[in-house]
Amino acid sequence: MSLLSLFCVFFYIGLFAIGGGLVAATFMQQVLVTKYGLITTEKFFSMLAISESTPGPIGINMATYIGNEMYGPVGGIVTTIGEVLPSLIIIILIARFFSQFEKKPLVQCAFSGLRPATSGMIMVAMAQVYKIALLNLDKFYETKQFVDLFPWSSLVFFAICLVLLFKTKLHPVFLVLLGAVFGVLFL
Amino acid sequence: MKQEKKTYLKDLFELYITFFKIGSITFGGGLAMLPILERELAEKKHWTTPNELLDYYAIGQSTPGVIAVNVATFIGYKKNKILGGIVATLGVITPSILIITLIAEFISNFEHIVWVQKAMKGINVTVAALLTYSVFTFAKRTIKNLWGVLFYIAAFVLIFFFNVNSIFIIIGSALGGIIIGLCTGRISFTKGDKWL
Repeated sequence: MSLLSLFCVFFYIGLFAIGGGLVAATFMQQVLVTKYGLITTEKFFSMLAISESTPGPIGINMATYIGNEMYGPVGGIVTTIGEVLPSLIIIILIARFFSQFEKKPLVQCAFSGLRPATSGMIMVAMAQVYKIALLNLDKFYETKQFVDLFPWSSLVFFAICLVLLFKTKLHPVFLVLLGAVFGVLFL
Repeated sequence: MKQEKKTYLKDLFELYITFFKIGSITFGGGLAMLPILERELAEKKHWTTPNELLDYYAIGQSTPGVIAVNVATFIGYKKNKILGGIVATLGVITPSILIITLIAEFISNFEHIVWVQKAMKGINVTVAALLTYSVFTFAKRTIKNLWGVLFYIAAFVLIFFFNVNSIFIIIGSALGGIIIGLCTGRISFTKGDKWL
């Protein structure tokens, strides 16, 4: 696949992946692995693991990684720009007209439904992370012991994070660093 | 005139650096980053308000693309028009390009390094806490009445338990809001075209 077609593929992914990075990743899997066979499933998931464990939006990390894999550093830049270009254009168009429309009753009403639904969607993201970070499902299925369902040290650290977040003015980035240190020492 | 140009460039540079910073501390996807965006963009820089941020998130969720990038474009545009939108977007994606390129070029088997896996597990717990904070802040500010509770629970249950595509939730909730508006008389077609 030429660099230009690769750009087009990522432009297409950027245009149709609605709802955040993981949706984009699933979409990439469908397009790049299943449809075009550009990368193997195994390679794809190892890329996804790296994209999740490095800073930056997951969808962007994936785009850079795949481009890099196929065409070196330049490829990484080309695919990343391809991926963000559709949303850049769409958001600029929306932002341009948003201030004119945001006070209109029709838009206000649409938002009065959209806002709580967005909260619900964020709760889905929360529940998914709870499942991996705060439950030991694998071990629980194995031993069937209720005590094994909870990684206790993680729960204690989780409680500390919540107190720091809600009760202090500590910058959240320190919590990310603290989390990394906690993981290396205790997990 | 020269002074004006200088401050304009300074503004763009500040925009780039701020979103570069945000891009380099984003873990676990854009949704978990609300506390950081609130701190950096609303409290420190006063470029936006927490309530506006929520609307950007709602729009970012309902439009194509990565949420962190969409929010960056929105705020960049608000500050410095089209160039601002482009600069903020470039800022938020630069750390990804740098870090991933370095890893892809120099470190093989990055994901199998033991301490990276451990650090990642620990960061996941932090992300769980950040998301809890995001959910609380969002719920507190967006659920204003019984309808809000209904939309909130419906969105969660439909996606989490029934794997409904979020695009249907977005369209459905926006339409639902409009229908409720029509029924309660907040939108009325008789007052000329004021409803749009």
